Amino acid sequence: MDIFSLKNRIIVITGAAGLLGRQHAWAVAEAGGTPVLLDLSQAALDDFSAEINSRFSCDCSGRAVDITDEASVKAACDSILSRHGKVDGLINNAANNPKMEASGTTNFSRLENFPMEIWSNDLAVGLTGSYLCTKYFGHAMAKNGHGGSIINVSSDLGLIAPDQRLYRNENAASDQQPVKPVTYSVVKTGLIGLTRYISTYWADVPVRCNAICPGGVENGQPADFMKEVISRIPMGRMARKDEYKGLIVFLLSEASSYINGAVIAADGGRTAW
Amino acid sequence: MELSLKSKHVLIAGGSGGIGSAVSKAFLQEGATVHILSRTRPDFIVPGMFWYGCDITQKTQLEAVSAEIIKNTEGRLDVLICNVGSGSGEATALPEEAEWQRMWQLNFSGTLNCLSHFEEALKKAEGNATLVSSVAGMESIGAPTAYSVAKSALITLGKELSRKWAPAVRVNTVAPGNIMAEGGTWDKKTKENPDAVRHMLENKVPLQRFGKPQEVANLIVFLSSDKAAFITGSCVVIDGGQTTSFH
Repeated sequence: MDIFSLKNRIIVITGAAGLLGRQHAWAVAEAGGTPVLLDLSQAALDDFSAEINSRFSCDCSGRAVDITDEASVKAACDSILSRHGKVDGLINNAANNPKMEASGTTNFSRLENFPMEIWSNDLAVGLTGSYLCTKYFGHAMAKNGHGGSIINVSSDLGLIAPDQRLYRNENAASDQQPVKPVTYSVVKTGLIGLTRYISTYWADVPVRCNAICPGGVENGQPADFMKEVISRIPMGRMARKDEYKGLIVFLLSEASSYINGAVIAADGGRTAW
Repeated sequence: MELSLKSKHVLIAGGSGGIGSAVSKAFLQEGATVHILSRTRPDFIVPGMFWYGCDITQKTQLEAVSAEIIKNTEGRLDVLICNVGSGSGEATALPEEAEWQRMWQLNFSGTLNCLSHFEEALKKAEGNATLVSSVAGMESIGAPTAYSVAKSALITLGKELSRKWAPAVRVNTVAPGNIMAEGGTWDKKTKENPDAVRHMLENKVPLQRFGKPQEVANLIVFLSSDKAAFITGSCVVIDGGQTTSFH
């Protein structure tokens, strides 16, 4: 028996149409599991689930869900349970991409200018969405008779502060310099708190819960930025987008059956000091 | 999941004991060429596997088997696992110098000796090392002081080397909680006082059970594989949730 196998496992993935969400879904299917894709665009999910089903023998499907809305999450959970009869795993992957561009004459990523609307929306997607999905899918796992595994996708920036010098724009005044928005750190650190809470909450069932803290993924960033980021990573490179697949499968599978409440840095050594 | 460890040279220091034998067998199952360094002869030697009788806390003993290891691995070490140590020691808060030295030798210096000795072979293969620490190296959980301090030092050693040997060699640490191995500390304690052990598990470990050597082996095999190619400098806790809450 392959202890890393996800055969017959139903794994719900939020933000499944995104850069890393697609990789997580692919990893689940490769390991023999059935990914259930949640994201905002039904069309994107239909295309992607069709691609997965044409490559793997699984019953992958996608649902357009606003994970910040409790009724939508509940409805998605009911529909998934009625199709598959159970849920075995959840990857809380969805998060807003931090917006750092200047808007007109004011750079809104800066703390002094950061709009309440963006603060609320980022926390709603990253934290409330993860909480709601955990509430419904975690509960479903707790009742399935054998438990399950929840992975919260935090970040190296859940462990350290962003180095704002990385985002510096030479042409902008000092009070207009773009920064990594505060919500990113708050959401990613909050997910670690959610991880610790859940790791004891359903431990008797058991539903295990762990956080991963991936480093930045190379995705066509400008060369100057890359050079600066890489100088902060002992391995001397950013991650490839498919490089977290192994960790995802490991934490979802029985191979990690005693790992619970762990916060695992997978960042090329950036936060090791 | 294919871990691509087939024919890789894997050296396991402390590969014949409770956790160690599970680690060795897990690598054998993945098709790796397993080399074990241990004082006692493993009882599961199979063709194509190597055993070197050696107490790695003694540099002279390590040097004595070194030539043979270099020959058998062609000087290239893909994976090094340092799994040497024992939590059996004095319960006094600050033990005498001799006890400190003994615990330090066993729980820190042996691993340091291995890393120093095989640095070149690891770099040549662009390999990776995993050090087996303990949750006792992270939190005060009632283990002997000298043991906890030495295990804590291993975590720091792992982080230091992850930076200083990068990018050629990855170095990670694992911190197991309470693992039940046949003949191990918990096995003895359970036989002596099963009620106290059951009480401890129910009160301190969210998963309410011991970890199995196989579970630690799964983590180590994963970290040693290319599937963990971007993981270095990490300390991965495997304790059923113990250090998240129930102290």
